[in-house]
Amino acid sequence: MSGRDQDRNREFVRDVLARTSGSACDRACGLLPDLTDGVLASLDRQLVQQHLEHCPGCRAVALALGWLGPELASRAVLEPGPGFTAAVMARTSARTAAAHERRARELAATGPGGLMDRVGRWWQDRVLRPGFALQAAYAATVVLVLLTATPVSPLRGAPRVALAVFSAGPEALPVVNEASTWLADRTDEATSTLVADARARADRAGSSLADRGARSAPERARCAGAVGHALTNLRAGRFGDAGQDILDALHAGRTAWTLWWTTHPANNG
Amino acid sequence: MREYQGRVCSIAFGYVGEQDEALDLAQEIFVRVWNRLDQVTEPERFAGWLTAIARNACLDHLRRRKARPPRQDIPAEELTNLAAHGPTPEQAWLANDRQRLVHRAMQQLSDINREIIVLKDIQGLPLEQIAGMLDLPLGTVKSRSSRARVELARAIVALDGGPGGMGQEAVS
Repeated sequence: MSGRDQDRNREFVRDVLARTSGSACDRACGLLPDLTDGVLASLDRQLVQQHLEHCPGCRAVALALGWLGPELASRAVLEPGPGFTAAVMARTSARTAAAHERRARELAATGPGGLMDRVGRWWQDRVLRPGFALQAAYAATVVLVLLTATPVSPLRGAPRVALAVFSAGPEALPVVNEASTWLADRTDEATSTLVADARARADRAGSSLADRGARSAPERARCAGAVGHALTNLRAGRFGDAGQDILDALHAGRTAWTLWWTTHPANNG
Repeated sequence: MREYQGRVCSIAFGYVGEQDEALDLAQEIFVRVWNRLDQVTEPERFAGWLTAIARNACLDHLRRRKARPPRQDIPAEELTNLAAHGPTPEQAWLANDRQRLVHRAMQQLSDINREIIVLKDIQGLPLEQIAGMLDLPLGTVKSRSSRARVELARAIVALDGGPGGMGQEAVS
């Protein structure tokens, strides 16, 4: 045996000892996954298989590993059954609605509407408190004193005016007097204007009647004269002359009627 | 949503282990997703993003569950109403003995091992993605994944009555 062969034998024995020292079952089981997957080196595979031939416990583990791989892989998908999708959709829809409502509340709380809501809720809370009336009266008294009763109050003359009004009536107030005078003046002006207009309309109406009478007076006189002549000729038996007088009377009457109803004498033909 | 609801329910069920909680949690996860949809800038990475949200929601839920008092009993009439809705998801998700056995064994794992089983062996995520999600080195995640599988297999063997149990017969 050459020196090279001796080195190779020593190396082989060292590898075998390294793989077979310690607990044989632990070492074999540690290699079983690779044996099952078919990736175990040839020497290790031989050693493990020899161990399995004589070790029922490790052989049982090896057999379990053999069917365990496909069994586990077959469980990659577990269908949840009907109703699962609908349940998820219901939860997401509910969350969407809740999120929108929350967002709306946030927007309302930061906008003018939210400010009014907060003021309204604050006021409602205050009004519903039992001591609100007493507190409001106290606060109003303080405000009135500050506004009217101190030397620097902006409305310090108001109480005196109010007292005068109550004691002397509304006429005690200058503004009331001014308003009353202004109202009386306006009433007089309106009354005078109305009376003048009525008189002018009446005058114009009277003038119009006189004009119409003057315009139609000659024709009315001629009509009356023709009627008188016609009656005289009828009594005398002069019927031809009486007919001519009647025609003259009709003509004069028509002319007088036209002059009476015509507004402008120039239109009278 | 229908495309991913089964996956989300699986993640939730893997973390919490109870069907009612898993369904409620899955709904909560989708509500979170819906609220953060505007964060999705790369649609091709939506699945990974969704898984990360689901994992965070599950961890939050587990923390709340540890902090809150035990549940109150449900009145009998409400149980009747629940039963009227047909088979529970747990009945559908754990349809046979082997599934129930795996589920029971999963409950015996440590939180970290159960999480790695859920992400690696159930959801099939790459180790690199899990390492990024858990903020752990890739080698650490790989070794923990191997240990978690062995721990789960040992738990199954122990629950199944040792060598020669149901699981062994089904395989052999």
